[in-house]
Amino acid sequence: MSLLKVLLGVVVIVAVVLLNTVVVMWCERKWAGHLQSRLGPMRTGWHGALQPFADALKLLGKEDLMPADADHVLFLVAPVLAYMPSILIYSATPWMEQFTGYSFDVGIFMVFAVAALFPVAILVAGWASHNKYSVIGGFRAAAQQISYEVPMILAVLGVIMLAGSMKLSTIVEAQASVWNIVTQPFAFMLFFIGMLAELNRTPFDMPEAESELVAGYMTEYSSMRFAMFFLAEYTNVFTWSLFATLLFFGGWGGPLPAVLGFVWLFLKTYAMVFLIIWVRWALPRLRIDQLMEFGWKVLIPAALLNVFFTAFGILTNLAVLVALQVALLAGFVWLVGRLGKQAGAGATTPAPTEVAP
Amino acid sequence: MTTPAPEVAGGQVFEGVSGVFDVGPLGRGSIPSAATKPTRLVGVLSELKDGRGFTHLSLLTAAERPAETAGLKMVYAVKRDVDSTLAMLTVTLDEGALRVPTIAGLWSGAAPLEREVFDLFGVVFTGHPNLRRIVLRDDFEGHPLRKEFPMPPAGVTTERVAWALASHGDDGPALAPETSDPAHSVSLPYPTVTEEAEAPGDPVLHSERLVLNMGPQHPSMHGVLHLWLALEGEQIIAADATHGYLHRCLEKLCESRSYRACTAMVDRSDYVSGFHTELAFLSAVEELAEIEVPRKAQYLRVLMGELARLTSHHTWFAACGLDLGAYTPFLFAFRDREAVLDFFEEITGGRMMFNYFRPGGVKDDLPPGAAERLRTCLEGIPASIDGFEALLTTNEIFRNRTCGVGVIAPDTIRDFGVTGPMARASRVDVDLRRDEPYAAYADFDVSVPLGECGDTFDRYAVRIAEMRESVRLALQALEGMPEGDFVSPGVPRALKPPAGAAYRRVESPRGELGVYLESDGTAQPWRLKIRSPAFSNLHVTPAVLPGGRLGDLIAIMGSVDVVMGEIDR
Amino acid sequence: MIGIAKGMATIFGRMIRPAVTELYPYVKRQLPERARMSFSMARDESGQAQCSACMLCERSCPDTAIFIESEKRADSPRRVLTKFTIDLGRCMYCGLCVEQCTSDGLHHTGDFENNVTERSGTMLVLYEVEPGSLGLAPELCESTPAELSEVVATFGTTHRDEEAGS
Repeated sequence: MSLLKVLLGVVVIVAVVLLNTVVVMWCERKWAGHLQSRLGPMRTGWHGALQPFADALKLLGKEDLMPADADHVLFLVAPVLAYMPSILIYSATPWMEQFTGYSFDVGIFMVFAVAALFPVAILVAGWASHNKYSVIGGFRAAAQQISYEVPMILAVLGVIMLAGSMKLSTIVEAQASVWNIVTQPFAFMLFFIGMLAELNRTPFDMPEAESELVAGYMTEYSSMRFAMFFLAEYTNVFTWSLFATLLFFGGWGGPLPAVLGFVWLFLKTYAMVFLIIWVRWALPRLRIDQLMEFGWKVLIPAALLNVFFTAFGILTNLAVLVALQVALLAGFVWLVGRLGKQAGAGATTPAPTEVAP
Repeated sequence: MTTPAPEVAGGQVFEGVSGVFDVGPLGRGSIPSAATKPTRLVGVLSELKDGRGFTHLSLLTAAERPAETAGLKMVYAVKRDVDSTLAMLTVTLDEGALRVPTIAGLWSGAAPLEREVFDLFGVVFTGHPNLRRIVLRDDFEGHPLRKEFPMPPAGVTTERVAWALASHGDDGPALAPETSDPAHSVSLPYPTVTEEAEAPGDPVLHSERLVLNMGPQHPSMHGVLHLWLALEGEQIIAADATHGYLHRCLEKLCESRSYRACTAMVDRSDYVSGFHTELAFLSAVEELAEIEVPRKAQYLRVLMGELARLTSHHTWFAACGLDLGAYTPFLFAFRDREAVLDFFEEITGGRMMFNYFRPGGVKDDLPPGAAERLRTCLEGIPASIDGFEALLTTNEIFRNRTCGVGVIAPDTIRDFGVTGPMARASRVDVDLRRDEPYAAYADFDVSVPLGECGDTFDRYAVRIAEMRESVRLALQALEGMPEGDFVSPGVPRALKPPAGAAYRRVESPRGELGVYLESDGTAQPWRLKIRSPAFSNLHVTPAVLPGGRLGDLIAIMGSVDVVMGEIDR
Repeated sequence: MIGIAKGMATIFGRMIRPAVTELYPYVKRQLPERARMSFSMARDESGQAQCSACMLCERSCPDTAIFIESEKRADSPRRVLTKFTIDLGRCMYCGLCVEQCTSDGLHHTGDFENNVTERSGTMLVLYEVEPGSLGLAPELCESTPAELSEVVATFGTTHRDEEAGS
């Protein structure tokens, strides 16, 4: 490919990704508002559509601080290190049948490899800030993300087995007849939970728990450096929703003609984004040790079971595969329910006691 | 309107207790009261606590003696829960001998109360484990609640106080007292931060202990609270709750305001539910001035008190959810609270600072039509509480964060003087509305929810159940509202209650809220002490937090329901 | 997971129903009659303030936020109001002044949009006439005690500084 084509591709990808990040930010503000019976931003543009730009302008106008004791080089490098994988992942992403950055044969593997850079950036940010809160937040975030990458990869292993290839466009084409959500619902559940932890979203947002650590690893960052972390987070929301769509919801496959496939892709991606936002505003957060326990003791064994039973299902037939997946999903739901109830005595609202005079 | 205590003033409570004299009722009320010497204080209180069942320390404060005799007097009040009897003890101290033995050996909750008396009056408590200032900064000079401490003329703002102090100088007692030999001081049942921070860690894998300051500026700490923690990784080894950032010396300000103006000022103490402090204060005033309150006014007081409890618990619910990462319950709770606040504004004129109760009754009747609309609004609230419960109570993640976390044993509750929903969650069955009915509560059937084991979930569940109970009681008050005067006629504009003392307690959303009022016959109170339930509730946390994790700390603090205005005054 | 599902369903229910927030300042509420926000001084038929300068409001204010200036009549012991100021920055909106008013002159209003950009803007002058303009005795009465005037003069609140000879 000529250099011009490469540059054009890069510009288009970056533009599309940034635009979608902005749309995701707006969606978050509006949907969060409506889920809480309020309106969200209304004044900046039509129904607050320009709010993300207002936020960016505000952040640009803030003073750029660096703590005196901070490690200068690492402090400056961390935001870049956080944002870089967000864009780099798109080198492997297919948008339509013909349009992809670079069609890696090990596409999905490449995605996870690049995503594994996020915990590094967070650790660097936490350490470089020279602040107890940031260090704690950085350690927590890194531990969390590393732990939850494993069940994600194992869950995706089932998808790879079904498609017979790690190439992303092949995986999407393999769903032409039936989407993976039908044949791999349990894997999707695991992938979704792992995705929430990767994104540091509630119920897994311990690292940035406002009420505990101020802003965790981002505490000391201000202005554009903070904006880069912020943007990285929302870009990741879009990225992982996109991958969930590609892996489980048939990508661009759908009723529209092939050239408009990306419309369908975006619609499905934003439905996924809505699900992520919905979960964030509904649930409280898990404590860090509960989070780690859940990841290692529940999700990883479950993901291994998924791989085993998917392989079994592939060797037999489709009906068996689906039945096994549904059974695993039901079992998982029951298990999580039991984990909640058995957490201690006195777990019922006491009836008011009538006191005899 | 005075609540008769089961035993007649003094006789039986102090019978056979050696070392007491001047036994008689307190002021014009019926609380048995006696005096004792500093040397006999611990003995008398021990006898009352261990021998006669007075296990709850209700009040520990000091007051200046009348101008003719220089010096202070210490005032103690203890309570027996079984039959709700109170007993008060006074110890007179002469100027120049302001020392009294500590009672922190009997009640650990006395330690912070004694620190407050030391801070504001300068009394030295011998044997106290850590006698240092609690609401003022450590290098403050002087003891503000002494009458000799200059009070700027009314209306002078803070920058002028600096001027006033500079011109008049400060002639309070010296700052650093000689505290007792540490070897002979009482030990508290929890580790201290400084000791644990320096203690060696694991001998094999040497890890450093981290001293972390949470607050006072912090998105979670409700109000300006400073928690000083010694951490080892995620585990809390020792904790200390430092407050005083919201101290406005309300008690001294009230000493130079008329009684009617004080009603407006005490609203600001517990600003989340101001009616209860107003009620406690005015009950004390009415006892001193022997004012009878008409039944209709009593019902209105009950109604407003229960509505305030409801809104206070809504605020607590919002903050509790927010601490645990559930952002949505905050908005739902505040939305529902708005409806009740609109009624507050319609009835009293203010949404948060009401100044509605008056000596002898309330300021004004309900506006026409308000009762009907309030009834409709209240009938819709249980359904929205169901909505709150759908968000948190059954949520597995919430259960995991709260069940079994921060269990407080009933003995600890009694030791620290914890009252209110926190105590009831640990199955300590005390509720002043039912045990010692004040206002019109004798006509109401108050059912009191109790927890199972005293963990954070129980404190949560008890408050949710209390919200439902408050709605029921408020509806009952509306239903049974009698006709009549809303204020007792003939109460003078400028109130000058005869000299005396009174101690009145009400059940506020945080627990036993008491007002100890001393009058010297003038138009301004001589001493106004607010017994703050949140103060005692907060100071149980250094005993509860160690051993838990940082994540648990947030859940526990959310369930304690602190209101800094009441703690610091 | 049932509890989690219940929670999610609850907030989804909120999403499909209309929002409850009002877009202030496009939508403004009328506060109830008893709301204690700002103040007004009633006037009688001739346009004079319905105030007998009894000073009860000034004395009952916990914060001394009220400043009254009045004139003495030559022919009767009654005083006449010449200037009534309330410092809204110092006021605690307790309503004791309105409650004490003997001539039904001082009232609360529901006007809550009182923000200003300078300290001096918080002084709300409810009534002002030129001293001596009512054809009465020319001596001006200082309503505040001498010590407080001294303090106030040192730190300079607004209207005291502006008047000559205060």
